[in-house]
Amino acid sequence: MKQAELVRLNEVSLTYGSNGTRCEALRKINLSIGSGEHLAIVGKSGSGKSSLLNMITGIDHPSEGEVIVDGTTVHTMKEGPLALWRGRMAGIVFQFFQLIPTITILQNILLPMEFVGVIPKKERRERALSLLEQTGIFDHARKLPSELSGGEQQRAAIARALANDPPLIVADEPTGNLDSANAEIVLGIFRGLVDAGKTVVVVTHERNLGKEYSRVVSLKDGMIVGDEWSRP
Amino acid sequence: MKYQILKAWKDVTEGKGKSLLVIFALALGLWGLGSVAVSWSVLSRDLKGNFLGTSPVHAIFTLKEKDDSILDTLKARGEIESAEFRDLKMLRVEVYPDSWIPLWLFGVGDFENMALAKIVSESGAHKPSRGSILIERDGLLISALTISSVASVRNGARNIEVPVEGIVFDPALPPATQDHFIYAYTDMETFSTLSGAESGKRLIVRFRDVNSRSEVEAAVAKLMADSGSGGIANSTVEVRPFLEHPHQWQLDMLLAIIGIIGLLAFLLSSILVGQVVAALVAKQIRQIGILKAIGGTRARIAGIFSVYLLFYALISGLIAIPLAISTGYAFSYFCAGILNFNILTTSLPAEVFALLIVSALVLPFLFAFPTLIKAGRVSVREALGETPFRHRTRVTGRVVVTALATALGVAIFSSGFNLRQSLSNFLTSTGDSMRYDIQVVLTKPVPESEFLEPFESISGIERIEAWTGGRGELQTSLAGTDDGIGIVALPLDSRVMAMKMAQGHWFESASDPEVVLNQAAVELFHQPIIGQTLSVGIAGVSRQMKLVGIAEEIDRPKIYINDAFYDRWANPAHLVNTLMITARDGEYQGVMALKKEIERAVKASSLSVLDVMSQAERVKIIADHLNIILIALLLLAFLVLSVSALGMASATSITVMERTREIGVLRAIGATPRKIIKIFLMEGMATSGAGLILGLILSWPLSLAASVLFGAIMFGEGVVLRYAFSPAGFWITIAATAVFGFLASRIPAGGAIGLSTREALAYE
Repeated sequence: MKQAELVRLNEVSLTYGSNGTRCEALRKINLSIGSGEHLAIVGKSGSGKSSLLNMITGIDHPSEGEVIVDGTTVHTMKEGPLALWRGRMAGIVFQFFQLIPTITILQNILLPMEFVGVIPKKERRERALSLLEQTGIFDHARKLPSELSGGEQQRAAIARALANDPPLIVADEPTGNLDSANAEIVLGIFRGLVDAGKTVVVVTHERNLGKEYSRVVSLKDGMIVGDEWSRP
Repeated sequence: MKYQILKAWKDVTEGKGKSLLVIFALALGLWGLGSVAVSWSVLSRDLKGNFLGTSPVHAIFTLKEKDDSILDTLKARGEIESAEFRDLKMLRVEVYPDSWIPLWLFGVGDFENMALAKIVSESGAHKPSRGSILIERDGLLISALTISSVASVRNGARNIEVPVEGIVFDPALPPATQDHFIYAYTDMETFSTLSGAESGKRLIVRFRDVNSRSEVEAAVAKLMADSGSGGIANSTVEVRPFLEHPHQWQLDMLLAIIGIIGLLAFLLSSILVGQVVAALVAKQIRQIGILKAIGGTRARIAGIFSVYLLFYALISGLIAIPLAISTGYAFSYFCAGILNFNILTTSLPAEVFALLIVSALVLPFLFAFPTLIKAGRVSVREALGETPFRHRTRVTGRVVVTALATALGVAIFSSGFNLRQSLSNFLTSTGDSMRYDIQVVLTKPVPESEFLEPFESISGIERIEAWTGGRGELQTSLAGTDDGIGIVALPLDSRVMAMKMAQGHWFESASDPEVVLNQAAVELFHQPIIGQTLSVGIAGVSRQMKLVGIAEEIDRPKIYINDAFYDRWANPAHLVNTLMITARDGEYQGVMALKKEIERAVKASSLSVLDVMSQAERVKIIADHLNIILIALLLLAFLVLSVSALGMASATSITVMERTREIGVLRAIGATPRKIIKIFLMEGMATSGAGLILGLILSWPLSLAASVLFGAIMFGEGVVLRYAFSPAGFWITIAATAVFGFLASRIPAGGAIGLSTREALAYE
């Protein structure tokens, strides 16, 4: 059964540089992502995977085309409202975790809640601790990021991405920097999120994609060259 | 806000080294600005306050005949606020054995009820008993006189022993230490006894409702024209500069120096702060990206950095403000000590505190504003994926700013030396212009032969010239124009006069009256041009003289004329009052020995001598006047160079900090700590070198501008000090910049090897 559309990209192109050094990162991309999908974006280095992810989160704007997420035209939004929208709608997980190094893990999770303000003040701390428990790093709540292993940091980054309970989670090679055991833990968390109804979009190099993801979109030279559904 | 504030606080406390650098830079800038503001506020108010507190006089009348009823007559007039007798006579006093200097003896009508030119008792008697004197406190610094000592006073050929009964403070007079005078006060009877002059003929007057010198002049003219004003109508009058301390120019100069250089130092430290903050924000650019990615708006991010800056502002303010107040006051006390006035400001005005607090809180934001705007604009993609190109651009920009800041420091430092050289050359040329060694001045003109007679047997004398009038303030009263400008009448073929001419030439015509003005007189003649005919009142008759030259000279307003014309107009008996003596042994010791011999001859003679002064001493007096300015100039110039060195140190620290990971890589591939230090050292020295070359080039126009500015402040509008290049300053600047450049690179470069290779590679 086709699920309700959460993300839509219409004729999206992204071009960097001027005439001499012109680089087409994305070419006329049309993509629809339904709510609850567990989508993998794959392709070789430089194929446009991260650029596509940046389109969805509004981190980058298309040179041409439209990006609509949950009815919001992301590509037309200004920087301020876009940051707030992102905090509310899209949790981002980076390959290198990107936690704020000077504050504790718990505070890293509370910070986006404070930015966006959708979670009532009284509930924030409890929610943050619950997310840490959910990701298996409750005991590290009061530690600084540097005191955690890579896998633990990535789980903290996922907890942060979930802080404002966004319907969409995007992750740019979230296991690329982890050993297999930690990678498995992270993938397990994503599976749990999908089961809970979240939409998870992951840029990855993983193999055994069919087993892990419901849909795999392949990119080459900025174009979609494959779109396979592994699970109806 | 809680976690945003927490993040900001953590950023401050986690990066202690970086935070200390920002706090140091901010505190330095604020300290410089604050010290200037405090000393400016205190000095500009207090010299005026001290002077006005004496109730200064507007005009001084010297009566031809004594008139006991004149005070009542004047006080009954509506336009007169107050009038008193204040006699004045110039005598000599022995300050050390066989060392005599001029004594200004004032005869005071009523010590208990002074309403004008008031003096303040500091110790001992506040009113001298008959036959004794009070001494102005600044005189204690240049003499062995003190309370209960007995001063040896010489009036003409008479020596009189006078007890000193008290010390007073008179802030309205030029400092004794600079002018090498002693000021003494006594009652009118003792004044007559000591001076041999009739008391009660010199009247000091203050008018009601006058606001300028021209209004005083109008009031004086009206008073003198009124037949009901008694003996005033026949008196001679001197209108004082309107409510201006005699050494106000020195303070103006000091304020100009601390103002200009203080602001330049502040500008440099603002560059330093801007640079450090920019580097810190740049360091956090990735975090800005993360914050934006998790929902932080531009305003929120600016808020975090504002809290961040506010911490720095508060800490640096707490350090710098008390320090600025202390140093501002210390500098004020230093200047007040030299200019002989008291610091009256015990609590600073609210606006100074407001300036300090606002500066502390606002300046960091002002300096960081462009960086914060840029940081707010950076997109998440740019922030998270910073390209090497952008990093390189930032580093290049910092090197350029550092080199420019160093250049500015070098330019000011070098200009300080050049200006000092200009002043020094001016002083030397003043000394060279008078090719005599000792000057003997009489209290009144006498026939030339009578004057020469006591010195004829002194073998150490090579040559003597006799003049009417002479240099300095004392002699203006002996030979002057009807308007009170000093006249120096000297032979056409004078061999002791070789003044440096600012314009035109020395007088040379035996048939036509020609005149040379010094620079101070130029203003009084309303900026005349060479070749113009001037009307000069001499002995009550207006004489026409052609202006042929303007001489460079630091002195009271003087005109120089051929004594043949002066004798014809006002001195038919060719009376002279000044001997210009050249010593056979022109070395300092030889001149001093000759001076002692001359003093002995004077003592044995019946000559009424006002002063015996060597040229070396005269130059010292002028040097003393300029010394405070030169010291302040060099100290502040050094401060500026130090600030620019700190800028260099901070820039190198930032570069080291940013390149920590690169240092790790270099070490991983075999670079020794020594090689790594060498890399940073060479970069730092290259930046210093670029700044040095640019600074030395910049110092030329800056020195020229400074010469014009300081010449105008010191000697009046239109008078310029000649630009001079200081070779010593040039080499000192190069050496200081090299040393500072080395230290500013070497010390932070040492930090580059502080971390282990693993830590350096993991550095974020």
